[in-house]
Amino acid sequence: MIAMHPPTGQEIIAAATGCLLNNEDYLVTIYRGLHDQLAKGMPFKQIVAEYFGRDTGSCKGKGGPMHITYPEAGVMVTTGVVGSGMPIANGLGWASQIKGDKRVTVTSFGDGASNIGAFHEALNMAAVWKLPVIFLCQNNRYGEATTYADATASKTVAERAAAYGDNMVGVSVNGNDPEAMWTAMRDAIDRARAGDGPPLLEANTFRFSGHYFGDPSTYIPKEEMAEALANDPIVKVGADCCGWDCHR
Amino acid sequence: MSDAETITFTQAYTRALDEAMAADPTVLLLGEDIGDKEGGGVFKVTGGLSTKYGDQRVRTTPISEQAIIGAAIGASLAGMRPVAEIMFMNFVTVAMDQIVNHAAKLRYMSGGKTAVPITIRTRTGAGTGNGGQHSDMLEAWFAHVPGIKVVIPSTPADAVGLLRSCIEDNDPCLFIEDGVTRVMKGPAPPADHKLPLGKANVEREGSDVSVISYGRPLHDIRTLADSFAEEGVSLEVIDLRTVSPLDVDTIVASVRKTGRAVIAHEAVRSFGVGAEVAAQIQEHAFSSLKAPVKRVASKDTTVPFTRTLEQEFLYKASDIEAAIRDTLEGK
Repeated sequence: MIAMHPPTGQEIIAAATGCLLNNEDYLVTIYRGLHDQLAKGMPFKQIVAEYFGRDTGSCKGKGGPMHITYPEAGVMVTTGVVGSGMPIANGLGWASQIKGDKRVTVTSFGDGASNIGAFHEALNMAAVWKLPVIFLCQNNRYGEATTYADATASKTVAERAAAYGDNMVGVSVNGNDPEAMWTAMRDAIDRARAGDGPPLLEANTFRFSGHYFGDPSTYIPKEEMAEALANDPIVKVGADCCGWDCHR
Repeated sequence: MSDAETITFTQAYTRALDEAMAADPTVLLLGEDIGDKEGGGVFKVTGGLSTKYGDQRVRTTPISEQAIIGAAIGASLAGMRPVAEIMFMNFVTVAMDQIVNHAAKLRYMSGGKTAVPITIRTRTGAGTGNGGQHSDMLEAWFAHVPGIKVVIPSTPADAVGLLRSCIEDNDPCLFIEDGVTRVMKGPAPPADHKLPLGKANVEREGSDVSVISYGRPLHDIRTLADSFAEEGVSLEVIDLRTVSPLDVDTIVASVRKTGRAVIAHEAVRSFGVGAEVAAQIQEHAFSSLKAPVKRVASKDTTVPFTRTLEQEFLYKASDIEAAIRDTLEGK
């Protein structure tokens, strides 16, 4: 599948999240969100039609790939502005808290977004208000073409949760390991749904196709890419679960 | 007028919020210091409401404008009608991404699947000695973004009616409160008063000059209309009430009748609402014009702190009077 900002390599995170969330739960995702939207239950046809600007797309062709919306499956916002979904997720969580509807909101973002002011404003407010929001950082090691280490002062994104007190927990997992990812997301959802405060879950992964479709990714060392491809989570899951010999 | 029949602008805002919250349980308030524990807001507009409706529906927030507007947007997507207070209009700029990229666009970009029925209340205006970062009139910024309604009342009764309508509207509304006239009194409106958005008010019919304005300058224009009437000059006074969407039909109909137009606003002159109104008049009523369309506005500079300079910065009633006299002479 050709996406404008392909999530290839990050599928396990979405798969684990999607099978743990209810249809009524909310998702706020980003331009690299195809996997998140599909796993949340969006019909594939409506996504593709939207990509091609057709009136049969989920947004009648008015939104496009970076603005996919499908409330029927809880896909409330897809944003093209890095970091801006998290404050909106808080509002969905606030509404759930008032209504007592026991829904949770997952807001997905990349490691680059953890350096934007909106991230810190949103995490602080969510912690103070104990909102049922799961902050899901899909750390794919690059914010556009800049490495995580060149852009981020903390060793992990998850450790930033410590700045927001006891109401927030920060957990860092291998997002490409289905069992670890599923378990961590289950715990995060349980905690948020119980009203115990918002988790910051960092799912470590890798982005196989660069920032955008056709990105030559010259900024990624060849060895790093080769190692990541050798550990392709889809190949591994296919082999481990089904004995399949999968290829991309 | 006895006190029982009049209310201040501040009382009008409070009344509109109270009526809206009583009428609709999905109406929520959020903003800095708005709870009664914090004093009911810096300008006391929300006083008593957290006690009456509870801390969950009236939420005091951190000083985090992006998070405030984001939370309002998110709650609105889930069926609520949040009213966010941003203490000063200059602080709204901190939340521009949420307002411009999200609140204004989500209904369109979702193909109509979601809507963002939020109201952002904010206070501003020069003349209070607050200096450059607490005084700007930025209504033109938001009027330039399709998808946001921009509303500015000029009487307490209108404030009630327009704020109620903003809260009931299914799109984001920016409701601007003037800092200088907030203690000014006017007749109280009847209960459950609502006014249509996007509709200007021809508050005084006249035949010689159309004077088009919104917000604070109307207090000057009402006095001027009386004095001009004594000279035998008849002003038609139009209060836009809603800056965007602009009620072009009412403006054009008036100028076709009078042939002369003066636009007055407190915001700085260049690239402002006055320019848009002038352009609309010349596109739609050019052949009726007997004089160039005049703009009266504050000066194109940062709002100064010291009182003498601040007063020099602001438009003056005498500027409006001079502009009217110019148009009467065809200048």
